[in-house]
Amino acid sequence: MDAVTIKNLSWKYEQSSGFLFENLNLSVPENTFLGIIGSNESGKTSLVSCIKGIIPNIETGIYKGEVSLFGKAVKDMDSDLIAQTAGMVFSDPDAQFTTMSVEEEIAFGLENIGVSVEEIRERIQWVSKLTHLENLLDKPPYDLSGGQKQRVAIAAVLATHPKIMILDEPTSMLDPKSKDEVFDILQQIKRELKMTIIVVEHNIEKIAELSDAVLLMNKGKIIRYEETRTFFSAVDLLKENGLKVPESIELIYYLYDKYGVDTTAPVKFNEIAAEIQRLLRLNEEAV
Amino acid sequence: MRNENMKKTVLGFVPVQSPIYAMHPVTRIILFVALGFIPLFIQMPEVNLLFLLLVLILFKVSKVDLHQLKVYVPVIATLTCFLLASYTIFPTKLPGEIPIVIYGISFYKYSILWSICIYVRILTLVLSSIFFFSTNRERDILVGLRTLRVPFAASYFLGLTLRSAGMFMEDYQIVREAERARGLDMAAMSWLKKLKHFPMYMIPLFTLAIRRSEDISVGLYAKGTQIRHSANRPDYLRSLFHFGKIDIAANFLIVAVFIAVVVADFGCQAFALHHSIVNVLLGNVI
Repeated sequence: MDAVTIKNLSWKYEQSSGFLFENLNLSVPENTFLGIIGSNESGKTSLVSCIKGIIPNIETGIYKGEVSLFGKAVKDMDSDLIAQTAGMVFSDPDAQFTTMSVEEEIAFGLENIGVSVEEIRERIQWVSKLTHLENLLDKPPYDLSGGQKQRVAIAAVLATHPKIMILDEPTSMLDPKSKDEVFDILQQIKRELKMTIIVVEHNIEKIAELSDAVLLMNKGKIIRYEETRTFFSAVDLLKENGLKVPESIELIYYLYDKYGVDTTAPVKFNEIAAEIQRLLRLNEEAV
Repeated sequence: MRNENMKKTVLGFVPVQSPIYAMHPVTRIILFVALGFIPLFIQMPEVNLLFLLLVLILFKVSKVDLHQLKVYVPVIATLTCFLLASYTIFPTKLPGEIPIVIYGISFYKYSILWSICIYVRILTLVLSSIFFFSTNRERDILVGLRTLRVPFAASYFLGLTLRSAGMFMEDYQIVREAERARGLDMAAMSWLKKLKHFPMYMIPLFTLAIRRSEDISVGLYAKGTQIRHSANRPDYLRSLFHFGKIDIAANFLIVAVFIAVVVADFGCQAFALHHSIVNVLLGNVI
């Protein structure tokens, strides 16, 4: 079943002169890790806001078409029902921390959807272990680093057991170490939990490493939406749309051209390294 | 230097460990209300000073680092100057009372007596408030209010206000650091220049505050927050605290002392100002 279905979606912000999306269509299968990339102002955040129901339930404008989560239209769903289906982590770690301690922050979303106190206790234990927050439960937001706050935001969403988890540039305000912390958690979630994960991110190397499929947006249009390996095979198209393709992927396509190999290249670092070694070995044998 | 025995809150510092944490937040709120109201029934400054001493003992027993109180010294100094100045400039005097004139300024004994009474009362109130905020984290206050059946919306609004205050302070530090990075030396400025410069901070801070409130609204929606269903809402935070025997005993004692003071005041004017030693020292003004 598709976790997200977008049919003929058109959206225009109240203040803007034209439509951002016009007849947009998209299907995201259940349990997919989808990376959304694109330059600034390309419509990535607006797209995930449509999936989460922030558009049209909070933002005002002209909305046509339909966005459904597991077959239910988001514009007809209450915010608590949407929260149970799709959780969202925003880019600003401060703006989503609305309580005065980590424990309270995780419990808050669970209280909103009516989970019992005993169940909340169990879920806090589970999620704090998963996101390595056990020693921080008592801490107020001003005692946490940006990376820790973002882990709390992820934990708070995970605790609600959503079927879909959306992360909108979760590392854009973090230092390199904190970015790695967040990506490690995402890797762990992908490995251990069955859920649909949608990540808007500028770090293409990490997207290539983690995603099952990648979607490229530009000026409100979906330019390319493919399984990750296939997606990165169109190096020139990605460059035309303002993306910096990972050098390791460029290198392997360069070697494919050189040795006359016609296939899609691997995109994960370890697989790329193994493929380069294989190509070099083939070259040595040929010589 | 950071004190390892104290931890920061939006409203000050609280001890990491304290015997007062054995009490339920409701008991702490009732103690705060009692400490705030009892001095209002006592006119005798010496009795209120004893009460103030009791508050200081509570600070000590609760393991609050009294050095942290230094930050409140300007508040107390301002209060002292303001009260004494207002009672001198706008004196309360008895009919026909002859003033004492010092350097051309008239002082009335009756006014001095009342200024001392009010000053000690307010000082006790201020110290009681500091005690409350030095022994309660933000979450304790919220739990206390919710246990007292304050509606979720109101207690949550208070929580968000405290959170916003924290963010405002963090943003203020960031703006200051950004100014320092661009070469602004506040230390070299005169007080007047600092005062003039202060509104400059407000522009980025208010802009940030508006943006953040929008972000927080979206964040609350994303978490499925609905105020209209709050009556049936589970309350995890409250479940972390237990109202035990110690709370029953403490509340009983607090209420008993409160009633005793009220009865003593209204019944036999036991704490009236004319009984005060200060009145005697000033030559029985009343």
